[in-house]
Amino acid sequence: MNPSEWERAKALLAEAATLPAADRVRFVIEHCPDEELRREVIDLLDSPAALTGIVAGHALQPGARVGPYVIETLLGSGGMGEVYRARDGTLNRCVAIKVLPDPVADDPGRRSRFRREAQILAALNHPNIAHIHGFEEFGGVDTLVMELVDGPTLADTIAHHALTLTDALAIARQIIDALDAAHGQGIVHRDLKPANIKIRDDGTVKVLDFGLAKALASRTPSGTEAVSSPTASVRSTEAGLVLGTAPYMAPEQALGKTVDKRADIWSFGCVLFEMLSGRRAFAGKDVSDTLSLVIGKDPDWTALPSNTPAPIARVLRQCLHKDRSRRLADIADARFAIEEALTPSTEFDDTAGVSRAPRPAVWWRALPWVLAAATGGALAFVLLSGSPSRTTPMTAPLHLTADLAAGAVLSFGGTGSSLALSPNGTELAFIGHNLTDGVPRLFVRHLERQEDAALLPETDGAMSPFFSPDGQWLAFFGSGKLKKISVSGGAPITLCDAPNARGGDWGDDGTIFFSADRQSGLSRVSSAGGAPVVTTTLDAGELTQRFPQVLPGGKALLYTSLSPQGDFDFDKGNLVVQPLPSGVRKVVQRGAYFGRYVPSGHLIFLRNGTLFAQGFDLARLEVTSAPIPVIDNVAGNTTLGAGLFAVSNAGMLAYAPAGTRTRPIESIDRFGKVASLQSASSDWSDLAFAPDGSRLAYPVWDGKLWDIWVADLARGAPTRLTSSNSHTQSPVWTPDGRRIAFASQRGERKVSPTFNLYWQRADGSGDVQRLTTSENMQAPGSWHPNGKVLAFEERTPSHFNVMLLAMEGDEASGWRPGTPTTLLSADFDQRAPAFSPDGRWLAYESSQSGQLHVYVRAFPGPGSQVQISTGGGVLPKWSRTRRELLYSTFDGQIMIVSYSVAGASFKAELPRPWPGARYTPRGLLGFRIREFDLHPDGNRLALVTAGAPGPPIRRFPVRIFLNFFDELQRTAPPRGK
Amino acid sequence: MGIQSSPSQKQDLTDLLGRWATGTPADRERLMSAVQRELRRIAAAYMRRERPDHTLQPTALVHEAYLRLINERDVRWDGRAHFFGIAARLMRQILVDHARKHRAGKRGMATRTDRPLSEVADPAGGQNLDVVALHEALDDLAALDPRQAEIVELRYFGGLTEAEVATVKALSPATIRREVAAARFWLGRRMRDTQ
Repeated sequence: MNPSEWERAKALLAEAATLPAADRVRFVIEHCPDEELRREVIDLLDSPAALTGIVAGHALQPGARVGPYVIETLLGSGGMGEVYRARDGTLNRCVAIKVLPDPVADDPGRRSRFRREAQILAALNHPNIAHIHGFEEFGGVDTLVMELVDGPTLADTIAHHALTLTDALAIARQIIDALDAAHGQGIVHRDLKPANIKIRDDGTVKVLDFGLAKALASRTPSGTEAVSSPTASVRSTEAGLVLGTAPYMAPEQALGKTVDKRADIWSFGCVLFEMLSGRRAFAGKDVSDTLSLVIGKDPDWTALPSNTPAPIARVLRQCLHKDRSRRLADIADARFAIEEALTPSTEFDDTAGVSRAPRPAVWWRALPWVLAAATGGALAFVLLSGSPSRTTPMTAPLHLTADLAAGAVLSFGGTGSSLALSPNGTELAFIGHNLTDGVPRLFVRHLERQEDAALLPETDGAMSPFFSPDGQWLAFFGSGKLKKISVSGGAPITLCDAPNARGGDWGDDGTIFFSADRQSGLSRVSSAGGAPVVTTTLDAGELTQRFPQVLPGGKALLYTSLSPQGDFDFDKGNLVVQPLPSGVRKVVQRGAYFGRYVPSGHLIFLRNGTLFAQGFDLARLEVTSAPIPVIDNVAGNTTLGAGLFAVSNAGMLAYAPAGTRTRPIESIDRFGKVASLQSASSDWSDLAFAPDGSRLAYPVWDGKLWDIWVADLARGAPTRLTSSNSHTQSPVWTPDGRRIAFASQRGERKVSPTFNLYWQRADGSGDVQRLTTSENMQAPGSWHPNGKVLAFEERTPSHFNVMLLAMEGDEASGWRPGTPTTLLSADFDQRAPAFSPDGRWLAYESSQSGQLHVYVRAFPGPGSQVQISTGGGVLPKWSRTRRELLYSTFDGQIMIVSYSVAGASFKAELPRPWPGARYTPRGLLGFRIREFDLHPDGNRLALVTAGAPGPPIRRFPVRIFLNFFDELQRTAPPRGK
Repeated sequence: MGIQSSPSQKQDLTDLLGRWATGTPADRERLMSAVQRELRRIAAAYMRRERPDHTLQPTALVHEAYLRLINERDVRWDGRAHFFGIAARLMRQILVDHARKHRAGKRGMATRTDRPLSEVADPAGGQNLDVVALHEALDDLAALDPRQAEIVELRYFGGLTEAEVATVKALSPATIRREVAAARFWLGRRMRDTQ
């Protein structure tokens, strides 16, 4: 563009900027006769959201609060509403919020359409579809909270140039996967175009804005929605939408006819054409000209680069057939064309077409960062299953909804910690943000009573609460003061100044230790009030001392420290012990924050969103064992150093789970080379390859429940296998690959159902069949190669045992489960059984030595056990092709153990690490999460990698874990080494 | 540590500012270096503050510098606008220097550390902007349209309002608004291209 062209472009842009985003393109089309300039200006209009939010009159302005979110910037607007980038101020992460604009908020038709959009979107769960987190109303404003997908749109990426063939096909394939999954659920996108397709840095393609999607008639239960009528079509393609859409609109759509999935197939063809050629398939002078081309003219096929593989050219023509009855009928068929084009025998030249955007050299590189908070949604459900120390086992989680407390949500730690448990565990204090005014206040909920949390008076701005040793008082900070308030009522009493407090603790002798300022040492004051006394000062290498705890006996303080190298990232914090009244302080753990000593003899702390535990000797003030990850998905604030968890002396843990992570599944070969198996828009676990390696089963967390999905690795798109109102986990394939056994809570009418064993055909046909009925939690482990015996683990009131279930009958006459028998039972845990490929050996975990190790013994016996792991191990898996046994260390390294068998003796060699095979363990308490599986060829691992954290779970923010200390003793013995 | 803002020095600088149009090159040099020192000092203090996730608000910095340096009552409004015009250019230099230095020093490490001075808040309420990318895009824009680039500089790095920019540039506020609006599209495109 030269200066004189720019003058003209500027005038158009300035004018367009005063219009709603949806109307700008039309304005430019109507007012710019020069085609070249028009393209350039429209291209600029379609420029990234970065700098376009300047038009006045949007529903929300930057800085506005919507529930827990703070609006940052307008990302775009259209007929269906405006989309904002919003930040969750407390957890410091972003989401996309679509807001129904005020002027139409009163229109019941629009509102209901908006709600439907939410429901449709929420039903779609696919790695290549931007996920919806929730539909929420805040003070009369309807919003969709959606996954914020960073990265350019495909429109940005192909604005001027074609992509390389490799890139184009990699993107096309993911678009196909998205459409295939949506079409499989009867959902048509209706507005597929480059501007609705985003490409993340890691190469994941996300199809956005299924806003026009409507459930097909068959999926509409009431049948009242005239889904495909021309009027519906006209109504839903309101001003603005038709403009951006016109070049990608199918002929039948342009003519106002009914629309089905074949319209998406057309649009896909347009997108693929444009990616390959760098030109739109249909580009007229204006909208009507464009539409006439769509209806009457073929694209310029000569615009395709000469290196376009024949299968691709062919499928493009099939997609862009004007007559939809002759068009490609199923988007999945386009996948075959791409696969054909990508097979090595099809040679192509990848140098044609210039990729404009610089790309990561490794297309599928893993995300290099992991934020503090994380996932594992239902972990607490299973953690709580069975409770050996109680007469009435607490088998369901106790969920507290903070909005029970008069419209408040749990604070995710703006400037302080947010949770406290009374020493006897009967009361939970928390900081709740009022939904109306956003002010944090102090609430107390009695855990043994079915009643709302009580708001404590005059606690505006309260933070970092902690109980007195007798549980009668709560201390907290607010208005620059340290205060206390009686749990049973009354006004707060100010104790002393604490200008920028960062936590405190109330010692048994009535002395309160606290961090008075964010970059200071610790002070102490009598709980009766008075002048605070400086107790500790910052070392040269310390920026801060915060969130102190008085260790039992009052002989030392434990606090979180940070060195200048820590960059105010408390994942790089230190836990420090300072003897009282004086003594040499020492760092007891690095890379940790919010350390708490708990009476089970453990130090627990947060690191990378995971709660860790390690043994701690109170007398010597030293750690006594290596840290073990115990619970993933615990919310924390790494710029503050506060963890959202609290422990009572009685052994209860309360914590706020962070949001659900999206976790890519990777495959790693024996040389450590990584490839992507499945990218992710959801959280998943328990990977299980089918015996022939063609499919992968795994539970997916949909925000409420775990259900098992099966991905056909050749086709890519996972499909849901199980669906119920209960958790379904731990898939185990039968040796013939026909069925999948799993653990589920289904079929129970009890308040707190336990996990029993079931199975179902892997193709989803037939009914789910119950295999066991027990009060004890059970999880399948491994099928004997004869296909008739399933080894599983069962949690009795005292320990995990290994059990056997024999199946009677056969495929023809039907299968009947026999009565389970006990194989391994002792006064320690034995679990995670795995049969060797020949069925002669059984590998399993045992805590016999005081620490979990992997052992092998002959099956069915007799014979002694052979220890396989060194330094602790879990999750044994056998190779089917080599004499190798795999297991995982506690910190997520996959180890290989070669073995030999001579007669009745089993000889194992020393473990060696599988290169590069490391995952972030989610914690070892409760159900084993099987984060990896070995491909049947023995050469590749599937591994769930850490992934990116999602937004905090606000609806059910607090999980209670009753017998936490017992679990710690079991899983992380204080003197494990 | 910067200059002392004693009343007499304040008056001195205020005079210098008043004589901006008529003063000698040495006068301007003096004023410039005083302003620059103060801006650097404030920026450095900003950087040391706790919250690393804050985005720099140039407006705040420049105003802080102004209040420290200038005897406000005695400055005519156009003098004040001129001050911000000078500050905008200096601010841009400081921010870009810092961001580049920080980037070079921290390459390969978490980017979190270089945030305080590597982003500026979009005064029109858009998202935060990468200082270096904006700087480079502005240079490109200057090649196409120098006046527009200056306007954007005043608006983004100087934190001037539309009315203040209009005064400095002797243009109507409506023109400023249009220039900025159009520039935003162009810069947005450019910054995305070069990321």
